[in-house]
Amino acid sequence: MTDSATTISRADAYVNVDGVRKIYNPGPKQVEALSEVHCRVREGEFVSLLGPSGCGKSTLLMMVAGLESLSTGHIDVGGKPMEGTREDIGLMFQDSTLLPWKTTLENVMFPIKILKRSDEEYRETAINLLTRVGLGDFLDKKPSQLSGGMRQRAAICRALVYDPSLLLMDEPFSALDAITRDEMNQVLMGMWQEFRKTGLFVTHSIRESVFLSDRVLVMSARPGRIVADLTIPFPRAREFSLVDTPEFNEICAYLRSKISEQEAVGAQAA
Amino acid sequence: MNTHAITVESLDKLASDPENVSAGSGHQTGDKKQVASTPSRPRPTVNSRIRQLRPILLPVLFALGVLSIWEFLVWVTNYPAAILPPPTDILGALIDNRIVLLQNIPATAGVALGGFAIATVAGIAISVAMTWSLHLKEAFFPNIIAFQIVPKVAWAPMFVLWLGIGMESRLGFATFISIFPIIISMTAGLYNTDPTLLRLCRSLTASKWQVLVNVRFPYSLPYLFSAMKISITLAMIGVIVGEFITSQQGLGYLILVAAGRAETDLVMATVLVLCFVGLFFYGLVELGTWLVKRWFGE
Repeated sequence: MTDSATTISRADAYVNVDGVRKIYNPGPKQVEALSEVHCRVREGEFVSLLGPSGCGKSTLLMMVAGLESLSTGHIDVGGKPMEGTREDIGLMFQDSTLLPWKTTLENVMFPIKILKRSDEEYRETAINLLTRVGLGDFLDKKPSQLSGGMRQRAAICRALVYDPSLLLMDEPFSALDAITRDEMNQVLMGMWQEFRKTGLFVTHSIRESVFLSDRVLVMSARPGRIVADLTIPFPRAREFSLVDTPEFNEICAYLRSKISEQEAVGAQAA
Repeated sequence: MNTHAITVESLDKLASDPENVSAGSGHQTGDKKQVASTPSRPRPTVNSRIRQLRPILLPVLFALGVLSIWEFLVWVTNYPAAILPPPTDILGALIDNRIVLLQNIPATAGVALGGFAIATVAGIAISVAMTWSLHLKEAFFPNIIAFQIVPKVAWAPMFVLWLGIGMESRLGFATFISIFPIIISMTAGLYNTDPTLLRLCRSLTASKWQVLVNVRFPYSLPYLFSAMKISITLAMIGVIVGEFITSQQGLGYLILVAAGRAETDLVMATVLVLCFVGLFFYGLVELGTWLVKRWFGE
């Protein structure tokens, strides 16, 4: 459990974020949202961005998705520089963003329709994914007939159905109640074991980040920087009982101390 | 010290039996709450029947009450029927003139429906164009809002000058008066689509056209239908105003002729027919709204 910053070579990195800054309203009244972020994610690795609200972690994620412009620096994904959005990247939001008039299956097939891929070919994939997350009996239900947890399960399937190599998740479970959230963490863990994507996961839950990730990157409050890079030593697949072990809680405590250190620094600066 | 150690066994003892605490009310896990089968309904009693019918019963009784008082007052005061005919006279005029009333419905209803249809299609097209180009919206939309404030009835004579005394001027004016709510609501609907969903579309490299067809347009349908409810009423007003200015047929024309002959009961019977025609159209739009809501899974 030691900080392992920048030990990944550029050739090994699937996601390479290099000297990225984000400045709003450049000029005398400029606001620096992100300052000089460097981070690398290996192929098949699950990395969490952990930090307080407003630290720019979602902004960073959206930059990796190609949805947000960079003020300086550059980002490569899969060896190619990011220039706008790409179909080898999957996205999940805090809100499931399912289309209310479409059924669960139609919603999962939505990316296939947009990407103009063969409906027949992917239909089975979609049904298999939905069955895998326990929604096999809800294919024809509309989102309003599903619970919050079920909607996010469908959103996971929608992000996976077109087989992107990188999955970006922006606090996907933070709007759910604590019990459903634990369930969703286990669902995601299981899916990860099976599909092995590269993942970048934004959260402000320490426990969630430790349970799910191979590495946790701690970000400071605005302007956001990465202040700790911690490798989580537990082997996969992880059982949820892991969260009750002393080792797990020790790591959580360590991360918590890192975050409060940052808060202290922030308070001094203010 | 070890007497206070917390073990699973000691916690088991602390936890009471849920069966005894909450008398049989089964707890469900979060995921199944909303899809749980509906509980069997209790049988409807006479009281619950009345409660169900109340939203219909109360307004009908209220209207009957007002009509009765009206009838009674006219009868007691011996008020001249040429100024205020009693409801029974109006009903009589409705029955006596049923042929001429029915003959004049198509002219009015047809033009109103035509104007409404053109306004809806053109309104949608203009809104889509404004969604397509932000510059167009910025140039056009504030003017639409400003123009909306003008009392549009004032423009009616101009339509006669432009389009003649035939059906075209009434159709043109009905379209003109009923298009504003469509444009304003539809544009709001197209622009108010969930921004996160638009991000999702962008991340999937969706084209502008794909976003419009698959997301923005369906999202704005509830806005469109609430605008259509206002629009159909305005189209009716447009046609009647048009008929007042120049027409040889239609319910508006009939009102003018009857008023000229001081046949007040026929004027009011015609207004009643207009009311039914308007209600019928409104009902059609309401039905459409209901279908859209069902499609949305509400």
